[in-house]
Amino acid sequence: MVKLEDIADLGLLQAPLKADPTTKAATALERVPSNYKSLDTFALPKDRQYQQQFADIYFLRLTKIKPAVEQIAYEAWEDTVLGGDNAKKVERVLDVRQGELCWVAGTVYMDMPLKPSILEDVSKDRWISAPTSVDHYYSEDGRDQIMLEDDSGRIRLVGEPLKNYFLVTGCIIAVMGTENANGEFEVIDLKFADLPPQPPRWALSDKDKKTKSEDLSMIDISAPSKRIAIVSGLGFSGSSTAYSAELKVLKEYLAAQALDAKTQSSEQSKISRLIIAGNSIAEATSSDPHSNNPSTKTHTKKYGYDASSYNPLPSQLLDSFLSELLPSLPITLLPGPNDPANSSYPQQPIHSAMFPESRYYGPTPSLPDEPGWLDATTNPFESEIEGWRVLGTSGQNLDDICKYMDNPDRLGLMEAMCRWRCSAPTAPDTLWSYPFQDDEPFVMKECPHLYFVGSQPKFDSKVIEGPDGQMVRLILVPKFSETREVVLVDTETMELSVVRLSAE
Amino acid sequence: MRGLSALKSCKQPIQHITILRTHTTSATFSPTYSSQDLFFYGHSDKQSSSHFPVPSLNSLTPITADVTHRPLSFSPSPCPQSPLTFTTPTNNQPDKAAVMPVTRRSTRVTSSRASSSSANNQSKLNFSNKITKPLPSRTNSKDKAAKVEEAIIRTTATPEPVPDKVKEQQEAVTKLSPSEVKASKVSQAAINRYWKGIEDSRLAKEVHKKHTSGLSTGEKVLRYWDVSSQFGPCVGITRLKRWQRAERLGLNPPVEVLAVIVKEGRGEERAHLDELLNSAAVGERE
Repeated sequence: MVKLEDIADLGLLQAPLKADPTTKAATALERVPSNYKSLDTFALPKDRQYQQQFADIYFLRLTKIKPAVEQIAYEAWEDTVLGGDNAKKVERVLDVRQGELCWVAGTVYMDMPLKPSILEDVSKDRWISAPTSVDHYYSEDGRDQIMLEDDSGRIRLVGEPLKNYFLVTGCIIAVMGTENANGEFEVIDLKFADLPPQPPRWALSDKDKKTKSEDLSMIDISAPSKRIAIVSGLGFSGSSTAYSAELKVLKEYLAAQALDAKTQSSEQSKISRLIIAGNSIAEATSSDPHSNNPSTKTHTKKYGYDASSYNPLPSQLLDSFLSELLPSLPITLLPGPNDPANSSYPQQPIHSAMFPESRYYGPTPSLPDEPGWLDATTNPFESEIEGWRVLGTSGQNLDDICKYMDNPDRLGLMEAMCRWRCSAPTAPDTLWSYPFQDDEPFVMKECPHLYFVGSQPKFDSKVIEGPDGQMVRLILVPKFSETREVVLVDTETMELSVVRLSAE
Repeated sequence: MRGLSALKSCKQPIQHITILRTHTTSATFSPTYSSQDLFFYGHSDKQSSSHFPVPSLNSLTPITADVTHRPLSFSPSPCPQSPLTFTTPTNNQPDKAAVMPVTRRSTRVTSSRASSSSANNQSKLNFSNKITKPLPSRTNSKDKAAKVEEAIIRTTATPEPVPDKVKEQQEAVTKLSPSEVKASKVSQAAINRYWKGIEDSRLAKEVHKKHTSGLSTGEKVLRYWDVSSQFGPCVGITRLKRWQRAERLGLNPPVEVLAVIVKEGRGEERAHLDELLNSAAVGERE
């Protein structure tokens, strides 16, 4: 029998490197475990009906947030005396009287002529097959009107203080002022519901972790620091290969195979979970049917769709990407506007049939309630990761709100969403949504610790504080296909670090 | 009473009367007779295969006799809508109402055919088991329980646990929530008092009473519930579900409304406004 020592000097075969006793974890890197509990706040029933009216959504939102808004307004304006007049609370929007100082709570409605309106389309007989998506809804020449609405009626809001606040359709506010001669309500002051009560860390997990964290502050310094990686807009595409090299580097980085052993053990193995926040598949570039180029002529349509225009490559690439990471890294996958999930908000999980290789890491059929290693979730998505309550979306809610104003301050709008207590106020006005009738999940009942929005043009983040000591870390996750950046969140200190990958 | 409602829904009884008048010459009967009589007597000889009970000449003799003496005692109470007055059967003759066949316009045979049916003895199309008019489907909880029972008997192999399961399913179907139990204890007098309180709070008198003359207090209470917008929009949701949603949100909807819904068994009804707005629904044409 030939022994290894005999042929070792030939240079072809080599014994495995002896472990250097100075470096730790020399043989196999172990990834830190992830404590994860995903909530089905936004899951819709499979047999859902569509007979309901959308007015139920506004009614549910107003009923749930109105008590909180009125409480804050009462505390602020109870003793206000302006010009010898006491501010009185008025029950309904139409009960305001001219010349009387009063305050009332209701829903904001932005009357903008550039907003897509079904009534306009019907009245002008414009039967466009696909709704045109407009860049922005605000009009430059001041034709926009802000109205306050509740079940009794609407009243127009005017006044200087309105310019200091972000307002979109669907946020619940309380305004103090009086009705002027034109029948409009002149606003003197404005109040929101502000941040909802925040649950403590580990609120939904087992008791032993909770008791440990009760003694110390919420931040546990002795625990090993874990990181959550959040990436968005991976954009696997069948046609464009501009960033495919960076995608490979990303895969190696997340699988702890890149760089040297020291960073692998210190940083990369500390990543306990990856969250992919939408747009994993690039937007389909459809060929122009009117072009004269014979090669791009659409083929005959069978059963109403052109089967040859479907390109399976993007989802195959995504599947192989996931299946190489999944053996060692749990992944949470959110659908985005370009992903194969339903187009209305809240998007339901991407079906496991899209991932022939990765679906084995999904939930086991015998335990359908426990999320598997690959957790395909809804968009928006609420869960408890490492004890922190996390709320995340793939970007549709923020992008839609940004169309309502000029030069939107995205981080400021994220903060405004938390203070309005509504994660998608423009649903169903300009954001397509399911007609909820019994309960509307967009109202934030509990304040999250971490709120991220994906598919944004630039990375940004800040921490906001609430009146009861709530602290929320807001993150704008940039599109990987444009910026090549991954966001890492430290689960103990809630500090962020951004990793930019480049393949040179 | 079921028989009378079937009478009101179809227009045949007037046709019956014209047939009688053409055939009987010596009949001196007063207009106040019961069509119940007609059906009963016509039923005795079933010569025509159609369900339409044709009163033949010989069966009419009891009517031509002394009108006041009737084998069946009926208390005359005029029906306000039809031009001819019908008498309603009393409660001690419920089986007669069951005997009376339920006829539909589509199953009605024209008068000419009816008169010649006995003469020609032609075979007729049997409409007895075909209902060509779509009927309003009422989800009867007992039917549901019966269907569930059938399914269980078919699927379970062992016969012994079946009766237990059937009982469980029936209990689950008929179980009421605590607020519904409380609502069923609300008396009719309490509901009337509630409605009177609403009416008294209005400043102006009711001007057009004719629009609400045919409505019971329960119906008025429910329509007021529909337009109470503080409990949400009434279109696109059943009244019961709207009440339960209002209670869940803490709006304190009045328990009298739930009492009317539960007592009159109108759990699946939508708002009256909803039916008007969705007037594409099937209805009878006059």
